[in-house]
This record gives sequence, C-alpha cells and structure tokens, in this order.
Amino acid sequence: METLQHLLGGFQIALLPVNLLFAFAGVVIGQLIGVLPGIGPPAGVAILLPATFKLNPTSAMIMFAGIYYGAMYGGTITSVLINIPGEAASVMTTLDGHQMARQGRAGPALGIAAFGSFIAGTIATVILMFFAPWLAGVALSFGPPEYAALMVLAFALVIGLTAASPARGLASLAAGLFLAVVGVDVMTGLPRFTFGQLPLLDGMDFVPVAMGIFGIGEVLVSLEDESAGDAGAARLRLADLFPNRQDWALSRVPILRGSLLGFLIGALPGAGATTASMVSYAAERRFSRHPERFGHGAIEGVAGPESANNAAAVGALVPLLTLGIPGSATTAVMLGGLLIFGLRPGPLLYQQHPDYEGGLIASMYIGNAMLVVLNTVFIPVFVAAVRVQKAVLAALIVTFSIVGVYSLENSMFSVWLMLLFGGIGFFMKKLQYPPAPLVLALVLGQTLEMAVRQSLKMSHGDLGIFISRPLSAALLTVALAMVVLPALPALRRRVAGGRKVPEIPAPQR
Amino acid sequence: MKRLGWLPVILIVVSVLVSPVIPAGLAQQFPSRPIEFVVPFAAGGGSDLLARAIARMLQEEKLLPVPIVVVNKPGGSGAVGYTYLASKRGDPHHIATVSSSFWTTPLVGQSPVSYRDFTALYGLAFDTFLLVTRTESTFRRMSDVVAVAKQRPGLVSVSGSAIASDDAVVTYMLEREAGIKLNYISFGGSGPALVAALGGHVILTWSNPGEVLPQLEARKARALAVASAKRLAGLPDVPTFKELGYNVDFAQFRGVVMPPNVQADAVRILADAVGRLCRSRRWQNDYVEKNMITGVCMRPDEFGRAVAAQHELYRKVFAGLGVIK
Amino acid sequence: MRTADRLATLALLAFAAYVYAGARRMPYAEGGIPGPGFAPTWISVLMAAGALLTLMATRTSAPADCFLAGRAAAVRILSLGAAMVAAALLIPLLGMVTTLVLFILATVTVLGGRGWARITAAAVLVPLALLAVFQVWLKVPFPKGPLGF
Repeated sequence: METLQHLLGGFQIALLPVNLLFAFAGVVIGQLIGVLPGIGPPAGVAILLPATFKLNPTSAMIMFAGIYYGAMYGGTITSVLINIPGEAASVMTTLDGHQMARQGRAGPALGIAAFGSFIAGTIATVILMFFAPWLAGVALSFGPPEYAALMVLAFALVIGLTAASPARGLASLAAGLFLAVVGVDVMTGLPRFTFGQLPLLDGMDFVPVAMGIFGIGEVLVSLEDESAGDAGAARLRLADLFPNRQDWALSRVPILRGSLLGFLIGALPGAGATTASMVSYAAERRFSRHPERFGHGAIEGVAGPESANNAAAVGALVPLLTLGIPGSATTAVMLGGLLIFGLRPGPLLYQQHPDYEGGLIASMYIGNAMLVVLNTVFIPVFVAAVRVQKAVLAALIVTFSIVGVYSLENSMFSVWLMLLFGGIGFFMKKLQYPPAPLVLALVLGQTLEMAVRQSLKMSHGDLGIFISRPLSAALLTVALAMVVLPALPALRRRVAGGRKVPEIPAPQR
Repeated sequence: MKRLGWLPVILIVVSVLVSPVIPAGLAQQFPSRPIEFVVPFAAGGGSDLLARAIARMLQEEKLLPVPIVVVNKPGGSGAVGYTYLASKRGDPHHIATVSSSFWTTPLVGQSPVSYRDFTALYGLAFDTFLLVTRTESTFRRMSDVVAVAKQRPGLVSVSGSAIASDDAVVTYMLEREAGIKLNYISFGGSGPALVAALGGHVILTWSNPGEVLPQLEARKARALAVASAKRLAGLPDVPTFKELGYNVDFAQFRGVVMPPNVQADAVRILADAVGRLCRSRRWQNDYVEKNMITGVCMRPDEFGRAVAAQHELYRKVFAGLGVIK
Repeated sequence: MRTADRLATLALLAFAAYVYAGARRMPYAEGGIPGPGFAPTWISVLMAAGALLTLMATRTSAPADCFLAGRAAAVRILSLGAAMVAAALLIPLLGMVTTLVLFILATVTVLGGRGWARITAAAVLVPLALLAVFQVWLKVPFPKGPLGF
C-alpha cells in the first residue's frame, strides 16, 4: 500500500511536462546509441552528462535511465537487420534474429523484441519497486564462491550451444576463454598474452571481437553468393511485419523467463546485461523442445535474450539505488552524474529523497511505453532500410562498423582488432565453428577465473569453500543437473519416436 | 561497373587540389585553437569526471578564450593516453589528467613514458582512504584487527582493486607499520571491493571517503581509521592511523600535466586559468565538497616537485611489495 | 573443404601449443591458490582437445562442398578484405570521412553496384551523416586529413 502511494506520488513527478520531455529525450537518444554500433550506453551517458548539469537530479536520472534501457531496444535493430550487434547485450540476438531477417521475417523479430523488451521492462520495474531492498541483500550474499558457481552454471548451459558439433564447439569455447585471459592479471599484475600491444593490457575488448566475428565476418561470407541485387532481407507484406499468433505462443514463456533471469543477473553487481542475455539464450535453447531450431531463426532465441537485457538494465539499478554501488559501467557513470548534483545514492536515498526514486520508477513505466510505440511504428521503415543493393549494403555495414568501433576508444587499434576478428569470423563460419561459444566464453571466462582465484584466496586454498556455502553449493548442484540431465529429453524423444517435428527451415548462408 | 571507375580518381584529385587552401596552423598567440583535454581512462571514471568538471567550469567562467574538448583515450591502465600526450611534444594545446596510474603503470614497467616525460601544470586534489568493515563485523576498532592479525598472520582478509594500485599500497604501509600480515584480495575495482566487504566475504576494505559515506551514514559500514594526517571534517569520530600509533599517511593525488618541452609562456597562461578556477567558490562547492576530497591549488613548480615526490613514494612501496626490483 | 578444415585444426593445435608454452612461463599455483598460469594452461589443453576431436570428426565425415564457390567469389571477398585493410591504413593519413567516401565508392564499384548517382550520393552522404552524429553531437574526434575532415 505504501509502495503504491509512493508510486502515485512518483507518477505526479514523472508526468510533469519537463520530466516527460526528458524521458522522451532519453529513450530516443538511447535508441540511437543502441543502433550505432560500438558506442554503448556508458559512453552515451558520460558524453551527455555535462548537458544535464542545469537540470534537477530527478530529470537527469530519468533521462539517463531512459538512455540505458532505450539502448537495449535500439541494439536489436542492427543485430536483426545486418547482423551487427548495436551494443554488447544484443550479441545473442544476431544468432536467430538475423536468420529470421534472411527468411523475410525481420518484422516479427523486431516486433517480438520490442514487445518482449516492453514486457520485461515493465515486469522488472514492478520487481524493482517492491523487492529492491530485499534483492540488495541477496546481491550482497553473492561473494566470489557464488559468482564462481554462477559462472559454472552458465557454462553448463553454454555446453548446450555446442550440441550441433561438440568438437568445434569446444575449440570455439577454448578460443573464447583464451581471449578472456589476455591482459594484465588483476591478482598478480602480470601481463598475459598481450603481444606487446599497450591497449591489450586492459584485456580484450568485447565489442570489436563481437563486431568482427558477427558483422564483418558475415559481410565477407555473404559476398560468396553471386546475386548482387537484393540483400535477401525482406519481401514486404504488411501481415509479415508483426509477430503472428504462433510467434506469440512460442515467445510467451521465454519472455517471462528472460525477464526474471535478466532482472536477477542484472541486480548482481558482478554481472550485467550482456551476461543476462547470454544466459537467457543458452537457457532457452537448453529448455526448448526443439533446440535444433536455434541458430536457424527461432523466435524464442530473440524473445528471451532481448527481454533479459532490458530487465537487466532495470535490475542494474538495484545496487545503485539501494547500496549506492554501481553494478555496471553505465550505472557507474550515472553515479558520477548524481554526485555532481550532490545526490549520493545509498541505503538512505529513499528516506532522504523519496520523490526522486518514485519519480524515476514511474518514469520507467512511461519510457517503456514510449519505446514500444516508437519501435513498432518504425518497424516497416527499419525493414525497408536494408532493401538496398547488396554491394552498397556491404560497404555501408563496414563503414558503420569502422566508425563505431573507432569511437569506442578513439583509436585505430580497435578498428584493426575488429578487422582481424572479421577474418577469423569468416573462417569460423566457412569451417562451421559456432561463434556463440567464443563470445560467451570471452564474457564469462574472466569472471569465472577471477572468482575461483578470489574464493581460494579467501579460503587459503581450501576447495571446500565452494560446497560449504549453501548458495554456492545449490548453484553447483543445478549446474551438475544441467550437465547430467540432457540425456533425459533426448531419451524421451527417442521413446516418443515418430512424433511430428515442425519443419526446420534449411540454414541459409 | 566500369562506368564508376573514374569516380574515386576524381575525388582524390579534388582532395589534393583543395588541401593547400586550408591554412596549416598559423603562428598565433597561445591558445590559438581548442585545447584537447586527454583522459587516459574510459568515460565516467574519476579522471573523466574531473576533466569534464574543469572543462565546463573554465568555459562557463570564461577563464580561457578557447573551448576545451575532453577526449577519452583509455587502454593499458593509462599507458595509451599518456603515450599519446607525450607524442605531442612542444604543443601546449593538449593537457591530461593525472591520477595514481600516472606513476604506478610506468613503475611496473607497462608504459613507455613516465612522469619525467611531462610538464607539470597544476595539482588539484588529494583523496585519502578509510579502512572500513561492515557493521556486523566483530572488529570494532583498529586494535581488534591488529590483535587478531598478530595472532594469526594472513587470516584477516582485506579487499582492494588490484595489485599495484593505491589500496594495495596503503595495505602494505599498514602491514609494515603495525607489523602484521593481511590477506589482500583483488576485486578489479573499488566498487566490487566494497561490495565484498559489505557482504561479509572479506573482513576489511579500503574506500575513499566519498565512496563509502552513504554506507557509513546508513550504519551499514564502520570506518576503523583514516589514512590522512588530520581527521576528516566530515567524519570527526574516525581516528587517524597516526593517532593510533601507525604512521600511515597516504592519499591519491589528482592534477593536470602537459606534453614535454612546451613553452613556459603557455604553461603560465594555462596555470593562471586553472589556478583562478581552483580558488573559486564554485570549484570548492561543486567539485571539492561534493566528492569529499581535500582540495589544493599547486602551481606548476610546486606540483612538479610533488609529482617527483609521489613517484619516489610509490617506488619505495613497490620495491617493498616486491612488485619491482 | 577437407584440406581447409585440416589446415584450420592444425593451426589451432599450433596455437594451443603456443598458449601452453606461454602459460608455462607464468606461475601455475601457490599454496593451493591458482596463479596467473593456471587458467591458460588448461585453456590450451581444451583448445588442443577441441582441435584433435575436430580432426577426428572430419576424418570420418564425408567432405562437404569446396571451400569457396568459385573464383569470382574469392575475388569479391579478397577485394573487400583488401579494401578494409587499405581503409584502416588510410584513415590516419586522409582523415576518417575522406577515406570512408573513397572506401564506399571503391568497394561498391568492385562489388558490382549499379546506378552511379545513387552510389555517389550514398558514398558522400553516409560518411557526412556519421561525421555529424559522432563528431559534432557525440564529440568523438575523428582523424582529420588534408581536407580538414
């Protein structure tokens, strides 16, 4: 009841014309930053920070949050249409989203992503409103052993992604793990596999790797076909522009699961939207009755991760608002901004500035509604935009990628890195090495290694720390079940025998 | 396809023809063009906020006739950005922020340029460290920590951001002064380190006052001691290590440097502008107080000596830590 | 295809050996706590296992189609690759926008684009739009060439 009163008060603040304006500005800017490859929400917020100094802190925060979750919507568009992840958390969307686009189903992919994001954003905001303080406690109980166990669980899910070709999947996974150890080892200060390159001391940046393997690699592979004319993107029919009844039936559960998974992972200060979307994708494939459809345009593979990354963007606000500790790069920048306003988020924020938090939460309902309208209205425009000649499209994709990746660190090094991984991505695709395990391992590997070493340092080398702590023991048990149980559905299918499996669309190159 | 062959050629010809029209940097009074403010770290960090605050206030208070453009050049713990600045030898239209990595990265041999390669411009702030534990902890005061650590060396864990970082330095100073051994665990950043302590996964952590103040106010965390020479105005109940008998006095140091070999006139003009900013009421209110740091206004010569002294301090500690020979 | 596949696994094996050699030079573990060499050592083992298993899998499976669909395809792919490398080399010299205009014109021409008016428009307008968004609005400083952009 009290919460609802706060919410009503919040809506009064959020519906002030000035705040509506900034929510709208935030989501539009976020959408744009999401669409532009390379530049992500942290940089977007940081660059716009000085422009907001004249505002009041509530308006500014409404705008920043809008940028953050708006970017999660925007990142989808390039992932689906041209296979370039607009920002890191949209990488998983390329796997099935782009396949859908090649089958002329870009509209439903974008539609389900927009609606899924809207549902996830709304659910996450409700959870944030009611359970934030409790969740903050849960997040604090995640120490290094729990993170290690969580990563083991994530890897147990990833193994499912390699089912089509386990040997090649393993090789791809190992390559990703290798990329994760590049850079100065935080525990000892020792540089590892930096090849004498200064920028690599900070580790292998995820974005150039993902844009190279998915974007540039895909462009190179697409040039193999003779047809220079149509991009093969879409034949437009209005009915095909939105998800149909069957799409919805397939996506309902993944959206819900993605929302919950995404929110929980986003609320952990050591994880984030990228991890959330990856875990969601792996989970959807793992729990699917027809995992073989994944990678060939399964709409669940878009609905799940897209919902998860939006929910995670909201979840990341939990540690920021309740503990005053940023859980992601973007919330770290927001914190910096709030300090300039003299607002110090922390356990007492709610008592000290109730209107601020209420207004922010209410604005998130409004912002999500704005985004879903914005995204569905423009779907036909986005779909039509890629109906240009293939030669032109290839040149433009490379151009966008070069500019986007350059803007990451204002350096040509990132561009070269992207081109290198473009070449690697081309060969991986030609030789049928799955790219997903590589990018997943790159994101998750670092946390796993750090967490294991921190845990063992805490326990002075005693491995018992992983099973003596209940939460970590529970997570490890689930992970074990994930590895052992896959035999069961396969068995069940074998018993069920001739039950009709829906037509699998042939993989197109 | 063939029809298009001449287009690139024309473009190249045009670009070559037009290029001499653009004047190439006419010799003028400094500053003659926008000043590039290099931040050797990603957008949103402490250095970035400092640079953006300086850039904005210099502009709004009209202390310089040209705009200041903040450019992030992250990578290699500052090595990329500082190497870039050093390459602008003699060009005063570039400045960069200074923070701990300015000294520590070259010391551990991961940067081709060191403090000697730059011209000191201005020293602005010190940010000290609090030794913090969570409220539920049975360690109520510094003497509890020392007693247990003396009995069981290595048992008391302390979280920090990374080896060869400031919190590792101050941990080492405390260990040496108190004659104890702590279990230092890196968490890759001060935020995660604080979370680990609040969750009770480690016993102690080091935090800048501004970072941990909300936790202290909400009684989620307790500060055992502060590594400054005097007690902090905002936290009068927290004793200094010196009062407790441990000579631990350490702070992060922030300032601004320029490329090597710049003209003395240019240094003077910029130092005057930054100095006027530093002494303004607005700077005190909007930057110093809000970030809970100790503001200073160090002119170039004074800052230059302080830069060398800070290098010497890090060098000694790192040698003691065994990070460098 | 089979040859390409085998070459790839051999390259992967060689790389795994390189990683293993590098990892052996780093401390492996100390007092039961894994050191910086621990993870890379086991990663190199995983990588080698992946490569060997792939090698075995390709030996049993039938060879698929050839690596590239003909000479023309190879020319298209190589020319785009070369154009990208050339662009990356030229950006610091000619500036971001100038290089990208040339890049688009050159690649579209080679890849067989039609209608030079539209292509020129795209080649000039897209980099300029990117300049507007990134440099003017997001304040990303692009490398500048003799033209000033």
